[in-house]
This record gives sequence, C-alpha cells and structure tokens, in this order.
Amino acid sequence: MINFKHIDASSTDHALSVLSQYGEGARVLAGGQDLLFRIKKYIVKPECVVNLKTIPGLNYIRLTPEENLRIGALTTLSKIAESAELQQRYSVLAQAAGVVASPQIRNMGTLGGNICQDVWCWYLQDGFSCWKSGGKFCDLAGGDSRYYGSIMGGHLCLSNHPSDTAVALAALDARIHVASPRGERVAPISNFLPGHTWIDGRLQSHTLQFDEIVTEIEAPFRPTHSTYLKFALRKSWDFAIASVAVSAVIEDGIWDEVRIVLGGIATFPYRSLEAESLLRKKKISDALAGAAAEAALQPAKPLKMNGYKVDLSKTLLRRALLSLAE
Amino acid sequence: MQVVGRSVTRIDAHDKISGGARYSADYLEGEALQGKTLRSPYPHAEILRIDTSKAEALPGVRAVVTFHDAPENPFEEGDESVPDSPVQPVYVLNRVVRHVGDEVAAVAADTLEIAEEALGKIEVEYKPLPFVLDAEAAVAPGAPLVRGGGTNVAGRTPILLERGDAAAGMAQADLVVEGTYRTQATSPLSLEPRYCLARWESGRLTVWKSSRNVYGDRSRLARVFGLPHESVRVIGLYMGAGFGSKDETRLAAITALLAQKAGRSVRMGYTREEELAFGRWRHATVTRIRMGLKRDGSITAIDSSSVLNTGPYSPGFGVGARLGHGLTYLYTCPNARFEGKVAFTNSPVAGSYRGLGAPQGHFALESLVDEVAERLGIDPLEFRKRNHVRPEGQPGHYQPKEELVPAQPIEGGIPFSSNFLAECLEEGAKRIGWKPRPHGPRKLKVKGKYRGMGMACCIYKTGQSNSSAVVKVKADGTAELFMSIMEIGQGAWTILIQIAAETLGLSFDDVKGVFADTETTPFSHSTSGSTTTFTSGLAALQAAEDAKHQILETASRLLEVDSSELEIRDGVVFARSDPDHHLPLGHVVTRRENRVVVGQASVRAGSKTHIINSFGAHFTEVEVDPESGTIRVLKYVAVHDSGRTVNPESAYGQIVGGVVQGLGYALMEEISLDPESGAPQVLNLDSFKIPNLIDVPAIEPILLNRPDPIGPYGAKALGEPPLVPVAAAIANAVCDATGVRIRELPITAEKVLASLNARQS
Repeated sequence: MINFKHIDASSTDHALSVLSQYGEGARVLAGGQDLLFRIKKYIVKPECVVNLKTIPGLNYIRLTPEENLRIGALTTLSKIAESAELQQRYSVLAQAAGVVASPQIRNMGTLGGNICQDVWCWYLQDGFSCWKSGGKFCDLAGGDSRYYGSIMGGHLCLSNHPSDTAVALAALDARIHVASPRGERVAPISNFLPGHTWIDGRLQSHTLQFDEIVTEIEAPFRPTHSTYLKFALRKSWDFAIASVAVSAVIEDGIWDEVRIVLGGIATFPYRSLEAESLLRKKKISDALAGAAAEAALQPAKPLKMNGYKVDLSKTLLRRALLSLAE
Repeated sequence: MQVVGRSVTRIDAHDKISGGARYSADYLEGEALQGKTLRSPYPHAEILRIDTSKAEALPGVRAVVTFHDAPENPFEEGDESVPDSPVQPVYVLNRVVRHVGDEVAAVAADTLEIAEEALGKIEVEYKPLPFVLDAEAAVAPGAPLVRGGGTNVAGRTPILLERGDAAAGMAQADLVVEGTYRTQATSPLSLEPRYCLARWESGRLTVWKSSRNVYGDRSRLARVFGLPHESVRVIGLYMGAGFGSKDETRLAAITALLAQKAGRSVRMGYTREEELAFGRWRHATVTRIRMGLKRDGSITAIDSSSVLNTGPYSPGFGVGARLGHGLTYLYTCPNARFEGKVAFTNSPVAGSYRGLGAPQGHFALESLVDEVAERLGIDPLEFRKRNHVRPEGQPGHYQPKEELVPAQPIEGGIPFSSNFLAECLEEGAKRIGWKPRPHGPRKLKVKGKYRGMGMACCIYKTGQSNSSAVVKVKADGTAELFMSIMEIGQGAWTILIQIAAETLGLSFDDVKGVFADTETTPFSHSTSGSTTTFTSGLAALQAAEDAKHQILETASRLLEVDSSELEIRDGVVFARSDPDHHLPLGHVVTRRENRVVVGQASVRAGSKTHIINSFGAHFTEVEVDPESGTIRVLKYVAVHDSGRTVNPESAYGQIVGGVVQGLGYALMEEISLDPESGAPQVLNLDSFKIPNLIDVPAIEPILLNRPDPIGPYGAKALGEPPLVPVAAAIANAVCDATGVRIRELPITAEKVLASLNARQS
C-alpha cells in the first residue's frame, strides 16, 4: 500500500479547503469501504485522504409530515436499513440499504459514499488496461460481462453502476446536495449519476468535481408503496446482477404515480419511463406487470455474455410490481 | 473404550479461539526482512534481460534474486533423453516464465513497502512466446509446448487404468449411454494466506512455514540447495487450513534464497490475491464416459477418458489417477477403462485440492448414472443399489502378493476390508424421505417453484503411507507423542493423541503432543490424502503399544504377575484378576533404570489381502425458481462409512465443511482466465464466489460408525470424501426438479435458466 497523508476534517469548510489545497491529489473518505480497496489495489493513489466522518452534523434522517425526506450524507447504511420510519414510508430505500454487502460494511458505509462509489468491474480491479485506468479500451464489450456489464450501452466504460441505494433514490426523485467553495448546488440524481463522464480528466461514475462533497440527499417523492428487489449470486455480500426499485402512489388499487428504476444493468440507475407510462392510472395485473417488464427491457442491447440480465430484470420487475399490489 | 469415540475438546481449540494460535504470518522475528515476489505479466515468455540495479539501489533493499541466483539443482527434473525435444527442468527461478503470475524475481527489504516499491524498479525485457491455456487445446496436435518433451501430456503418455476388456464389454451391451462433463478451475482459498520465514545459520537452513509435509519440504529444500537433509530444519506452524494447496515448497525456496543472499532472516508470504490466483487450483477437467448396459440394468463396460489442466508445473498424476479410481471402481463391472491426460498448460498451477480428481470424476460418473437410470426406467437409487461395488470387490481373480494391495486398485478379485455402501444408501434414503422415480425427472412444482431430490455416492481410498511415531512415558505418569503430522484444521493432533491415550490406558489430558518439526519429530507422510487417521493412527497406536509393553514388563516384575494378566487404566497398572493389586504408572516408570519409557513404531499401513476404502452417499432436496434459475438447497444429508469414528464432533465438522466446499464448487465457484492475456480475471472475493454462511443449508452429517477390521480402533478415511459426491448430487436434484441436465460446473442460475428457456422454445 502506498503512503498518503490522512486528514480528519473538522467541518465541511475544512474538508473543502483541504480538497482545494491538494487538488486532484486528494480523495474523500466517507466510510472507506470503496476507497481503501482501490488504494490497496493501486487503482487510486491519493497524496491525501480527507476523512469526512469526523465532520459533525451530517449523520441524520429527517422525516417530517410537511417536508421532503432529508438524509445526511454521512448516515450509515445500517442506520437507514434499521430506521422504522423509513421501513414504513420509504421501504424501497430501507430495503436497498439493507441488502448492500454485509453487516460490517453497512456499519461503516454511508449513503453519500454508497452513491459515489466507482465501478467494481473485474477488469479494472485486476489491473487490465481500461478507460478507467488510463487506457483506451473496455474489455466488457467482447469479454466476460456476466457480472459487471451494462445491457443498456454506455460511454466508453461499459461497467454497470454498482450501488443499491442509488437505484432506490432514483425511484424517489432524489436530489443530491453538493457543497463546494463556490457554494451549494442541488443536482437531480439523474444529473448526478448520468453514466460515466469525464470530470477533471477522470472518467467518473458521478459528476462531483474534485473540490466538491455530497452533504445531503433529499427525496421529494412520497410513495404509498415501494419496494427494492435484488438478485445476486449469494444471499449476502454480493453486488446485484440485476435489481429493481419501484415506488408508487396507489389509491384504491389505482396506480396514480409510479417510478420504475433498474439497477445492475446500466452505467447509471436506469429509469424506465416507458414502463411507468403503461401503469399510470391503471390497476396492476399479471398481464400488465408482464407488459411493463417487456417495455422496460425493450431497449436492452446485452453484451456478448450478459443476456441473462435481460431475463432476470424482467422477472424482478414483474415480481416487484405484483408485490406492491398484495 | 475410554478415549476413542469421544468428542474430547480439540487441543487446538483454546489457542484458536483465544487468538493465541500462531500461524505462519504471525511468525515474525524482529530482525527478519520482508520479501515480495515479482510475477510475470505474460503466460509464456523468455526473459531476455533483467536489470535489478535500480531496485538494489533503493535504500532499505537488502537482496534481489532472479534466475541468475537460482541454485543449479532443479526443483523439477528435466529429461534430456527425449529426442529433439528435451523436457525442460524447473529451477527455483527460471529464465522462461510459464504462466501469468509465475515468479520472476524477489526482493528482501527492511519493510514491505520498500520491497513493493523495489519490485516496480526491476526492469525486465520479455520475449513473449506462444501459449496455450486450455487443456484440450494443449493436447491437440500443434499446440505450443509448455515444457518441451514433444507433447503437453505430462509424463508423455496418458494414465491408463484397465480391467477386463472395455471394447468387448461394450459389444455385449444392449444399450450404451454416454456423456461429456466439464468441471471448472477453482481455488481452495484457505483462510490463512501462506507465509514462510527462512533463516541461515552456519550453513544450516531453518524454515518456519505453513506446511503439511515438513519432511517433504526438507527433502526438496535440501535437494535444491545441495545440502544434507540434516542441515535443513522445517517447522510447521498452525495452519489456517490447507485443503492440499499448501503442498508446495517454491515459496520457501525463494525465501531461503533471499535470506541466503541478504545474510539475514527473511519472511515472505502470499497476499489474498496471490493466494486466490496462484495458490494452486483444482484441476479443470473434461471427462467423457460411455457405459454399456444389459436390459436388466447390469453394467457390461465403462469406458472413460479425461483431460486435466495442470498448469506448467508439478503435474498432477495423482489427481488423474484418483479421478479414474471412482470412474472404474464405484460400480460392479468386469470391463472398465480410463485414460487420463494430465495436460501442461500456461494456466496458473493446479495442485492438490481436497479430493484431488475425485470430485471431478464423481460429478461425471454420478451424473451419467442418473441419465442411465432414466433411460432404463429404473429409479436412480435402485440402480445404484443393484450395481454399486459389493464388499467382495470387483469381478476378477487376484493372486495375493508380497506387497500391499494398492489403495486404488484397478484389478478385480480383491475384497474390501469393509464396505458399508449399501447401508449408507439405506440410511440416507430414509433420512431424506427418498421418493422413487423410475420414470425420470418428476418436475414437481410447489408454489410456482420446482422441487427435486438428487443423490450420489462416493468411493475413496483410505490413504496408505509410511509413518512413524515416538511415545515417551514419563515418571509423572504422563506421556508425550512425537509425530510429524500437521494440524491442518481437521483435528489430526487431537485424534492421534486420543489413539495413543486409549492404547496407553491414560486419560486424554495426560498425553501431550509434539508435532511437525524435523529436528524433534520422526518421519511422517504428508498430512494429505485422507491418510492421517489410518496410517499415522496406526503408528501412534503401535508406538503406544510398544511403550505399554515395556511398562507391563517392568510392572510384571514389580507386581509379580505375568504381563499378559496386567492392564492399564486411568494411569494405574493392575492385575485383571485382582484390581486391588496395582501400581501407579509413574511409579512403574521410576523403577526403570532410565526413568523413562520410549516406545516407537514405523508403519507401512495397509493390507496384502484387502482394499481399504471409505464410502459415502449424499442426498439432497433443492428448489429451483423457473423464472430466474436460482437454486436453493433445502436439505442435505451426508452419510459416510469411514469405519469407527474417533472423535464424533471433529468428524461431523469434516463432513459439514466438505459439503459446504462441495456446494461452492457445484453452484458458484469459478476462477477464469482472460483468454487473450492469460491473466486471472478473478482476484477479489466479490467476484470469486464462495458460499456465505447464509447460503448454506442445514446439513445432516451421519456416520455409520462401523469398525473396519484393519484400521486403528476400526477407523478409516474421512478427510476428503465429504466433498466428493456433492456436485453430482446437486446436478441430479436440479435435473429431477426441472428436467434440465447441466453437464458443466458450476451449475449457476444463469445456466439453469438458459436451459429451461431453450427447452421451451
């Protein structure tokens, strides 16, 4: 492992000033479950690691009848998974947080960190040359894409976004609050996680600039029903091969509002407006759930080895939709 | 019996639970340098130039070794005699590297960080050579040669096992069923990454390592460094499991080379990634079987062949032979043939891994047997009951010889010392609630999901090797057992002490063990091959008997009772006819001139008239989700005939552990190479899938506990068998549930769904 400087940030401003000072040589640590692995694997080689966990006041779940749900970026995944109120009113998020990796990782990992994690593609992990490691190639196109490959195309890097919670948050119309020396900006999650994007010369999974940090996640959508289903090869400590988040406002069996987001299959949380539109103002049925699943996966263009994700995503979406009717 | 057959607390339990146990990575002398290995990025290349000067110039670097420094004695011998294509020898470090990750150079430095930095400063110019990763491609004509010798078939000819005449038998058949089965490479993934510490002192080498064979390590190190055996000492430390994969001495040899050059002790080990990718895999295999049958279901011939991917080094002849053993011996059949090609390739090295080739062979055979039963319209359990090998053995005539019967014979006419396979089948079927299915897969649907049951049997050698033991009984009435057996996690130390204590008439706590140090413990075989309880158990028993005999001689004089009338129990020597006529054991010892009793034994375990094999039958029930292909194992029953159980809790642990490993092998584990670069694609535990605790079903281990007439206190082998039939049992259950037959491991949800979809369309 390389040597680097470690700074405990005492406040958001302190963190931002360190980031400005070190420029691209700094990395933030909001739980470390993603970053430390990448440092040990020599995927990132920071001069300085800024520990955000020492910043007071960014660990909260604020849930009032009047306001949008607000969650501090440093709130741990366990806290979100175990929150009785979230389980009741935003079960999609509580469920997604509860199936991330293992209990140990959920105790350390934070919501802000989870949505900002980079791809876990084994070609990147194992030292193959690729867009993310400075090369000009993506092995997933012709290689083994079973676990980490997108079926919805992508820009350069074809590795899927690995986060569970980002998929759930996209189904809640989440807005990401970002602090920088220039003040605060608020980005809809679709802008925050648009697929792999060049930022400051790095091909990133998110659009944070080097001197920005996530402070809060806000969720305006208030579903009456929601759920997150994840398929992985193991029951615990595994990334989704495919997942689905559905949230809806259902009254008397009629689906007034609905959000459908697929995970594990695209370079960003993949929202299907086509599937949503089929359901609006309808009552759910086996046939309608099936039609929505077909519509959602219609645009899929699987890579050489990951056609399985198409079938799997349809099954998950159908089951998720029907489960909300029960 | 007082001690054998009881679940005494394992002697390693306290150390391991309290954190007091010292494993190889914990063994660190204050002065020791830290070593790191530079590994090849190419699957096959010649090193044209290697410049270590920049690495050596780095402050804190104490030694760098390359093939220029390698001793001239090879690690593996070559063969000059092959016309035009000599077999290339292998040295500690080589000018030609033969797999991605092959050792190129090594650095010893003051800290691990400096050593790592130095690796980056070694300049190497490679000339890439043609390479071959796949075993079938490697044995096809025109493939690049991995080791010379004119062929990639290791040993240059296939392993051939033949009984009767398979072709003639096939000609008599009313029905011939055949199938091709593929198994993947996988990594044993010991919890403990292997480490080693090497120290030179006045020309003598001492090595502390994660070892399962201290004498084997000593002999290889002595050969490579040109030293008398007595100048090398190898000490085995607590092992965080080996599963066979730590059966290598190359790490120790490179570490010793660094220590020699640096003039200081050096410690070096594997990272988790190195352990996963280069820690000796299970051989990937392709097996073709043809089975000839009469209409009544009797077998006329079994003809089989396998190709095994062994990587470039230490060819797995034993792996091939064990693969063939199950194929040719589990079912009664006068004509059987197996041809095994162990193929050199440029894949990372495959080595010993629990069960060697048996899980691969049994997956093929026991899958095919279900297919045969379906074709014949016989329930698969019934087919096995009719055809499995009987206690009298395979048909044939055997002339007893002077030497022992091999543990894995091919010829017929030799009875088993004990064979309770019929009872295993009976018991397992009862426990799982077996439902006969003479008409093939049932494809039962319960709440939208398929359910099915499957089963598979296994036959496995009880290892026969050389071992020796020394038992010292001291004046305080306690004893010490000296042996070179390793505690690899299986409980060997505990059961060897149990056997010695039982024989001596002492309590378990009154016998201590001293193990695995070539300076103080006598020769033993490697702790492998399901050999320890049987072979070393006999050595411990006989050494204890020798000591007991001497004690009784002395006691006989003191008590004036014939020694045949005396017995020892709970540390007291007494006359059987008059238990009040007694002396404490310690008292007897103090009355001897040397105040000590030393018993010893060297054994070559086995039988001249009987085969000593273990048996098992596994039964499982699974649920398959037809919309995702997901397999859930609902129930698992594993029944074993391993003779008398010496320590039931340890034995149950062996069974459950073996089944869990087997489930990982059957359902998810897979380590693959990038075909273009030959580099391992799976270097982290998120992508190398092993079952988590939550993925493991309730497993019911059952031991028949029927004593074998030859084994120590009736014990036979148990270490490896529990892994052997698992994959086939799962494949058969999945087929019963869905009607889909998966002939390639691992049986992933993806493959099941694809097969279900293919059937529909």
